[in-house]
Amino acid sequence: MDIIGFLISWITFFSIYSILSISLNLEAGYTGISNFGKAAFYGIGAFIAAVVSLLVFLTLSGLSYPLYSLETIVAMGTLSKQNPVLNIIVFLFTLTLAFVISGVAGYLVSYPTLRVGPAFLGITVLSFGELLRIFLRNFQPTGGTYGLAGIPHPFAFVQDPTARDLAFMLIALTLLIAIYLFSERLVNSPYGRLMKSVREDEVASLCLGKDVPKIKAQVLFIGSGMAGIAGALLAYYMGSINPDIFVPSLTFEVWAMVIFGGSANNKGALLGAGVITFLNRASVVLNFMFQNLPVDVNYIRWMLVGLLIVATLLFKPEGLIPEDTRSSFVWSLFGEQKTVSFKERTEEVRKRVKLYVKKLISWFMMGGE
Amino acid sequence: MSVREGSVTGLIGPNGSGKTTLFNVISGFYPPDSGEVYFMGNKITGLNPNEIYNLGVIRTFQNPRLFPRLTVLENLLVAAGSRGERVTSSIAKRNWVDGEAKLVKKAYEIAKSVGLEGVERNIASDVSGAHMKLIETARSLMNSPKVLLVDEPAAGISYSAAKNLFNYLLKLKEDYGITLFIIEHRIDILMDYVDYVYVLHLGKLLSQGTPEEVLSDKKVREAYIGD
Amino acid sequence: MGLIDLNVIVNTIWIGLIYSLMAIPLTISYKVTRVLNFAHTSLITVGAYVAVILSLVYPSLFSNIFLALVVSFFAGSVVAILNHKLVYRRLMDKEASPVILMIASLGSWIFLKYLIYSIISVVSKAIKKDLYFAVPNFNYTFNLNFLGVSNPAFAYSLVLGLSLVAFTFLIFYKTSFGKAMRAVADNPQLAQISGISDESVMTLTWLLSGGLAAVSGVFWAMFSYASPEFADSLVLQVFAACVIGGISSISLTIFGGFIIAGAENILMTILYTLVGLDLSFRPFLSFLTLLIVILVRPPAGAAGGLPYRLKLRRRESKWTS
Repeated sequence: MDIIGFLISWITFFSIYSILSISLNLEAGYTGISNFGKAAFYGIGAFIAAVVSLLVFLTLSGLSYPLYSLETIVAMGTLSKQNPVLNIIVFLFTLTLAFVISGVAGYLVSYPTLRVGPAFLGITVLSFGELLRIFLRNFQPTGGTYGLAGIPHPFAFVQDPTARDLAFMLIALTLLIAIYLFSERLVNSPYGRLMKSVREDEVASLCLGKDVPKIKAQVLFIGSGMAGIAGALLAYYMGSINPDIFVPSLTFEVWAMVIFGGSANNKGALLGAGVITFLNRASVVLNFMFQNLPVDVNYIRWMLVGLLIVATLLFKPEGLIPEDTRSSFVWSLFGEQKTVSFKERTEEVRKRVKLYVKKLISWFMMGGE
Repeated sequence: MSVREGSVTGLIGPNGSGKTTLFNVISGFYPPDSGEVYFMGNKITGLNPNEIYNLGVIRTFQNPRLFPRLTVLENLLVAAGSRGERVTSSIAKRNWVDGEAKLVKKAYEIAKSVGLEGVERNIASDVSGAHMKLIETARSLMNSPKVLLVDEPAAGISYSAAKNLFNYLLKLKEDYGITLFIIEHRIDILMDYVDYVYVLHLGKLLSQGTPEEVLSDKKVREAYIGD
Repeated sequence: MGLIDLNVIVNTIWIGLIYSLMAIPLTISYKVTRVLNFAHTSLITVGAYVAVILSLVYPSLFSNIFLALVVSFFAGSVVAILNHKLVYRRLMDKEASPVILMIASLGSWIFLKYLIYSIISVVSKAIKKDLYFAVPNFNYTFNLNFLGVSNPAFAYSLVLGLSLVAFTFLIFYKTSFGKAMRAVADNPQLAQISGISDESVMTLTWLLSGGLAAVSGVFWAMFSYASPEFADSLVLQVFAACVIGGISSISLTIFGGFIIAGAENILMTILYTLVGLDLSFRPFLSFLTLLIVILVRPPAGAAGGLPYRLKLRRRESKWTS
């Protein structure tokens, strides 16, 4: 069992899922938009990345095979290793494109659905997602149910697979950090206050001069764009994608992350993503190790996801890390140091670690008593 | 019907006569069945509630609609506009930091003037009912209103508190030139403060005039007693 | 029309009926309990698979379609009621908002979906038959050749389906229970004051709703096939039918079911023959219909949005029936 490989894969998936989780948190946790179509925007980003990257590579080499064909996959095998600069440019370009197109899709979908309340919004966005998936399943040019493969990894030119995966993991992690910081800034600014006012009481917010439909559309643009980035990352990481990855169950996995980890809290989103990613990867490993179980481990995992959602709502509705009402900038104006400075916090951590290590050592010395 | 600039105009009538509905129409909540609403010479019928708010026509709710999980201070701050409320400028702190500090100061001042002190940092759902009313009132002042549509300000509070509130509203009018259009059930208090009164009954205008004229109008008495 | 042959029309009628049967219980449960039950499709799947498994494992008893339908009905009811008691009721007692209830129903959905997957996986290994693509093993005593369709399942499901729709109307409008349901739907507080126990009404509503959903699943499995995913692949159409009915009117929901079936089949065929529109665009037509309805006649009442929610308040009475 390749521990390093498992860790790298876990952290990469964690980054991708965290981006999804943060994006849903912005929409649902902070603004109160019940977006049940997250998988759709995730999928749009993935397919944009796949289609555009394959098209670019093939066209530049003068080839015109259908994107889904075996010839393409074979050709991409060599093409993706020839020109490192091209790989990276295409990677960055498609990442941006995925953000924009998914974002616009989110913005557009918000328009008709903002005319309706949360129940209808949920249904409509969910249906939109299913619509896209069923369409893609039958749409030959993007490979139908088989999807597309041979997607050029940005670091395909790197020979050592572990190094390649490590580099990708770092990129994914960097993107996650950037998105996290952006989100933190957004929600602790007056705009964050705006988002929360829409969540708390749309009507009051409207009557206090806020253009509620526009705010929702903006947040959906940002959230969907982020999901698009996550999708693009997935496409490059896996090298192949198909429509059946982007099912409603995936959307609800993300919901479980937000609800369980803590809604309206970016750290909670990360925690939720961490737990779900762990369950996710663990079941992949278990499935690999035990081939003949009566029930597919994945089924158990999904049941756990469902239970997590229900149990959290029943017993701790705000999630593990609840909303931190005093993290916004306004609080710092009163000198009320609820938010501890970074230095102080590291000092605190260092002290605690020292204490713990001392305890461990003395326990060890005493012969493990 | 018209409300003269700088006046304190009252709107009374038995229950169900349509007073709050009228406010809803003026503030853009409901479209009117017929007729138009004009503000300072411009037609505002058909505008969205948020647009009307930003023109300076601000209404309060009879039952305070606060944002439960926000602090009292944030409830007040939302009511004012801020540069930081635009997505693009919210990311860079320097765009809105100074504005925020000023807004917070303004919020504190207004809170103090309504008699709301010391609760600013509490979560809005934790404060008492009386405080909620005060917050609702304070909130309506945050965005420099030109006209205040006040819906039953004295509901549920004591006589002396109500008098204080009305004195305060009058002071606002003097200091800031705000026009007041007030729905109130407690006619005994209201009549001491208003210049002009409209009376609604069953959705129609029943009577209008100065407080004395309206109080002596037989139709008005019948409407109330027969109710 | 020369473009459309009898086959397409007949298919549309059947599909429209089944969509209606799937959508009606969702409308009813939402109306009365205010919960938009996303676990609804699980109820459909439960019904289908109870019929399939029982008819395959105990054919002596359950190849009798009526018996299988009755058992499926109650299987659906039990699951729906358990879901209510364990999840919705407890959340409602904590005064959870409709959004929270909706999200909880999502949790139920995933849980039930993969519970069903697990059960199918275990059972199919036990009886050594592929259940991932199965048809109930019914014994159709009358070999009815109806409207040009030789499969007797068609006639049976059509007739039984129509009877169920009529039965639902009967219950809803002619019985005192139906009256109680409508009372709770309109105004729960008032109903409670009038002595109607909203918990018993809700429980019985879930009984009815779960049962109807389950039976609609059996019908689909009879004439088409059952798979763990079939109900979820119909989610778009079923929800669209409900939306057309404003999630409040049973008759409009039925109308919605047929509209969606028509868009998917008749309109699709027309566009395919006339314009060469690829058949993979079928789901777009359903979604487009849904969008048009939302844009042209935004649903009013509690399900409506703002600021249009506010402007349409006076039209609310048109949509409740």
